[in-house]
This record gives sequence, structure tokens and C-alpha cells, in this order.
Amino acid sequence: MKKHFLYYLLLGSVLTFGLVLILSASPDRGLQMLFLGFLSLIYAAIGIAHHLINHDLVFKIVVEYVLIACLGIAIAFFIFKGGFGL
Amino acid sequence: MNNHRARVLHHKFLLSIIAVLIFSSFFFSSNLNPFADKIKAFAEVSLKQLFDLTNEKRQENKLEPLVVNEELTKAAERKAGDMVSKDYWAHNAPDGTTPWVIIKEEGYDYVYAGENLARGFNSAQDVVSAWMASPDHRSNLLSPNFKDVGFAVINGKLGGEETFLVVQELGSKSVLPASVNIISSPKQEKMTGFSLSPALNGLTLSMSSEFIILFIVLIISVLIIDMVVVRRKKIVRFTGHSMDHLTFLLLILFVVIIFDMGIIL
Repeated sequence: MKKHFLYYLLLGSVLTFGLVLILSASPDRGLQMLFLGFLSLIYAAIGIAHHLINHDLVFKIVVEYVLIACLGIAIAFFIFKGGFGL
Repeated sequence: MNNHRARVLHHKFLLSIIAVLIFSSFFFSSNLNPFADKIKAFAEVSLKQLFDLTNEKRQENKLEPLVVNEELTKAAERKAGDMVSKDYWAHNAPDGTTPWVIIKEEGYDYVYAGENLARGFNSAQDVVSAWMASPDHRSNLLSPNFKDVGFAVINGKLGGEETFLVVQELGSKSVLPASVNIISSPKQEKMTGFSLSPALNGLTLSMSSEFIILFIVLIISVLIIDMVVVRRKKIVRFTGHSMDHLTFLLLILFVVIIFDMGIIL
């Protein structure tokens, strides 16, 4: 954890800034979705870049970050579209 | 227990969940939605509940209860339909038409008139609580000048988002002299007069959100267990940092709650 302090500081700052942007875009849900999409991409990029710098990047890790980012977008999109309608 | 990650963190499982969520997003928002009747039923229940709760708040403040007025109800229905068809969320239409024009055109010759709007709430209780927590909307709800009320609750798309819209038109044709023509409305000229559900107490989440939140909590729990096991057993794995995913999913959890909160105007 201590080894990656700067990385977590960067990730925490980016996610916090993204959250502030999403909140400030209210009540425009479309714009909020757009911000969340960008934030997810940045999240995946930062994670992959971190592993690249640490020389432990393998294809499996790239897929993992992309999938988690896509999962975030899919969850938000599902709620944005009205969920199950219930 | 082996040194492998839990199945819910496997790529195939994550990919399947993403596919199901995307498919469901389009399927349930389309005409094929098997819950469409339930949505309609919700709207019918809400109208009565909105009326009862509004009068409950007025009676708690020693005010005369409002009476449902057919013309104001038609005005509310027209306003709600107009917002969906022209895709806007404001007291005034993009062409400048004010709610007062609609109320007059529906035959309600007001002396006082007011309008409260809400969208994205999951219960009538949450709508009225949010209005009561906002000074402008509260003053409309508890104004002694209003005698009549009309409600409309419709399901429609605003900015691509499937949502419930609630329109409350308040008015009075009182015996005051005709020259006194006062319009009462919360910041009807301003587009920025919204607030994001100021009443969080008793916020009702939709079933979809509850389901999704449970799912996110499951993934987060598995990530935490995975982190603990990896640390204790000193397992070396070529995977992403669980802490990263945990932080990101916490943000998504927050966004789900934001998306499920209603907005008033």
C-alpha cells in the first residue's frame, strides 16, 4: 500500500474530481452518464499505466481493468434507462 | 480454499453480467417490458397518495384542504405531456409558454396560481417530502391563497432517461378583486431552480436500484475477502489491484444512488 501511495493518491483524486463533475451536472442525467463514461475510461487507463510502469502488465490485467470499467458503465446505464421498470 | 480468485471476479462472469445489464437496459425500456402494467398502477396509486399527502401537510399547518379541480388536472396533464413530447424540464416551455398560459387555456381563470414539479422519485411520500424540504415548493404547498389542485403523474423519457414526472398545479379563483393578479411560483423564470432531492430521510429506492446495490455490495465483499486472503497467504498473482476496483465500485454505488434520487423544480 505504501509502495503505491502516489498511485492511490492520483486515483483517489481523479475519482473524487469525477464524482464532483457528475454531481455538478445534475439534473442532466445524459451529461452525468457521459462524465461517468469518461471517468471509467480514465480509471482503466490509470490502472493499466500503473502496471505498465511497475513492469507487471500482462494482457489479463488489461482485460480486467477494461471489464471493471465496462461493468461500471453498464450498471449506471441500466439504472439510467429505468432498470427493470420497477 | 485454493489460491484462485472467486468466480464472480472471473472475466467470463464479469462479461456475462455486462451483457445481461446492457440487454436488460434496452429490453425493459422498450415496449416489451412485462412490468408496463405495474408502472401504470404505480401512477394511479400515486395520484391519490399525492393528493392525500398534500392535504395532510396542509392540515398539519392548520390550513384548509385543497380540492381536486378538473381544469387544473387537465393543465397538469398537458404540462407533463408537453415536457415529454418537447423533451424539456422547466416551468417554461422552450417556446416561452408559461404554466399560467396552459392553466388559462384549460379554462381555469386564476387569481393565484403555482406549479411544483418532480421527477425520478419512487414514491409519493418522497415527492411530498422533497417539496416540503424546499422553501419555495413548501410555500406553494402551504399557501393559504390556493384552494384548488390538479396532479399529473406520467412515465416518459427526458433527455433519454426513462422517468416518472409529477406535475402539481395549484390555483385559486377566490373572491379577491379581479385587479389583484398575483402569480405565485417557485422561481418560474429560472432554469436553475432545481434541487436534488433535499429530503433524503426515508428515501425510497427502486427495486432495480436495490438489486444493483446488492450486486455491487457482493462484488465489493468478495474483493475485500480476496485482498485479505492474498495478504495473509502472501499469494503472488498477476491481477489488477483489488483496492482499485473496490474504490471504483464504491463510486459506481454512489452514482446509482444519485441516479435513483428524484429532482424537484
